[in-house]
Amino acid sequence: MHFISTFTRIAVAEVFDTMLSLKLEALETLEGADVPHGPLEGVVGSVGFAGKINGTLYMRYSDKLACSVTERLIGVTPVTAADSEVADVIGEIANMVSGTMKGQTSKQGYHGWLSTPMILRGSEIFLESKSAPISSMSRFRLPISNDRLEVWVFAKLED
Amino acid sequence: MAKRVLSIDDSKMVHMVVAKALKPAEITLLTAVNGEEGIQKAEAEKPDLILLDVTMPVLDGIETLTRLKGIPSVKDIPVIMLSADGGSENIQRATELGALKFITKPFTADALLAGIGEYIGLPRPS
Repeated sequence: MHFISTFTRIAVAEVFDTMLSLKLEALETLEGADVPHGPLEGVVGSVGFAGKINGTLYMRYSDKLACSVTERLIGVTPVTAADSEVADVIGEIANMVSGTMKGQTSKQGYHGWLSTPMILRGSEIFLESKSAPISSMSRFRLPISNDRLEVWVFAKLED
Repeated sequence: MAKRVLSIDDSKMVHMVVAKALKPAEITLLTAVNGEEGIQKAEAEKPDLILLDVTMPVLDGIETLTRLKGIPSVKDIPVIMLSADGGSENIQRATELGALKFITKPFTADALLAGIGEYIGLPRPS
């Protein structure tokens, strides 16, 4: 497994454990040509990396899972996944996961910067990169839902 | 009089999590969603401590810190950075500008209280 995939799994588990007191179970990790690109539906939080590591992290939740995570974290029950609270929570979680990953990649010499989080929502979402040599997708099971959390990373490392 | 902490962060989720963490210590939380609003509130409210995010729209945390330290009426208010982006370059820059500590997200309520407690006179956790 590429170390970017390993760092992704560690960062996602740490953020959910610390902020939501949830122990995630890491399921499969797919890399390279095995990474599915879509179509996806639901809510996607994304953060870009720039510097010695370039790329983007995407975290996809079903609408139901996004609402459950929001409720658990801030105690507010969203009416729908389009509520602003959901976007805020999903974006900030992506920000924390990216920040945790950045701390790990920095120790390997890959320093960089993070973008502010962005949110995608819809039913025909495709995630692709034409130039990233590293692509990875990891699935996680959360104890609060039967829906899976899926995390993509497309990245390029600069020497 | 209750201590007052100003949280400057573009995420309302972070404000809510911080508020929950500070509640047991009976700390009043003031909030701002970007650096410009944060500077205005700092000048108007003179909080006991400022929690400052790094990556924000309008005015980022490093620039906000630079401006805060240039305003005589607020320059001595303790500032703690609270950010997901805890890269060494950010920590070094914030420290050079006068931030007292850098707490990285994710954080626990205990870690946050312990982190700010020494600067606003909270009793040490037993």
